[in-house]
Amino acid sequence: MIWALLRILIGILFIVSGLEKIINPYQNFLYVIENYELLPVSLAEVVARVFPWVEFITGIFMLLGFWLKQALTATLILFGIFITVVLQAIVRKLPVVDCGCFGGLIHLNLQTVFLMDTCLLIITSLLVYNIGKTRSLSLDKLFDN
Amino acid sequence: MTNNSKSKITLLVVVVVVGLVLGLKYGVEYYRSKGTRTSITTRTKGEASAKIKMTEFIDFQCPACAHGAKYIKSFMEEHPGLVQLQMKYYPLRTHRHALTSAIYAECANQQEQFWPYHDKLLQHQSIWKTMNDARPFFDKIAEEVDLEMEKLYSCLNDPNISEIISADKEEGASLGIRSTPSYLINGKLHVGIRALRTELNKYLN
Repeated sequence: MIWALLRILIGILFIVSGLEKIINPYQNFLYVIENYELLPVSLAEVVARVFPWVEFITGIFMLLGFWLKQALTATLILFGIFITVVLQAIVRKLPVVDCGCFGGLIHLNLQTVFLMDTCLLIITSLLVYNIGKTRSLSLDKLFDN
Repeated sequence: MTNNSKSKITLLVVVVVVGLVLGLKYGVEYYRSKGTRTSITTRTKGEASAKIKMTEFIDFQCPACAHGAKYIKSFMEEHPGLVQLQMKYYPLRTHRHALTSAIYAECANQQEQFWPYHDKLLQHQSIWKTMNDARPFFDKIAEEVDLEMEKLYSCLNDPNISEIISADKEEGASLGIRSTPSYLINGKLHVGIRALRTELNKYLN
């Protein structure tokens, strides 16, 4: 049961994070992306519009336990991206005070986010390893032959 | 259940969820647009007939706001008559002197010295932002721009001033603003200096 609950919590995290960015003007998230100085302007604009939806839909599928293997893979990739982006900002000593991960909801510094995302990556890896238990309380179980 | 059913349910889930979120998004945008105040305040400079109507939501302790202010000042000097700029307050909780600096700026505004005070606040931002108590520095700026100090001190204790700042911040929040500097340029939101430059340059082309 604990594995399913962890899966659901991670799903809720992505849903809240994605929803906050979708509801508010995309320019807020665009500004966050620009602060990390990784992407050219045109690509940053595309990412600012599309990425929140990716987060949100991944969260929905994690919450529901639907297409769970794919959702867990997407979650691992997303955490990998977050860790890479934050780590490069720390190493390059970029003047990013607030990670902007949750829009205006929560303000976290880069070091805190790095630790948090690393823990969540480990938890997600364990969810994959224990996928049988992770599939408790999931829609996927309805499609088991 | 079959895999075919699974695909259909997937499509249903995605369509319903995306539809709900888009409905929520446009509902929130509509609600926000109703709350926008359009009154021109004394914190405005430039011609009323200017092609570019810009409202900046500012936090005086925000470094990007200081850079943005320099850019806007030189842009307005190079292209006179093109921009009308209105300032609104958006002090961020993460900046310890943001609210105090906004209060001082509004009190300067009450004595019709908003712009000189605004310029000096941003010019010396790197000095006062590191202070534990920036008020003596803000008092010094007030003297430099020839504010009447008794009126200033009385204003600093006036609860109406905080309400003016809160009203600006609530308006910004209702428009979906989350960080500074944020610029409304002819009704469209742009966040940060890069976005500001890109948008203003469009009007030159």
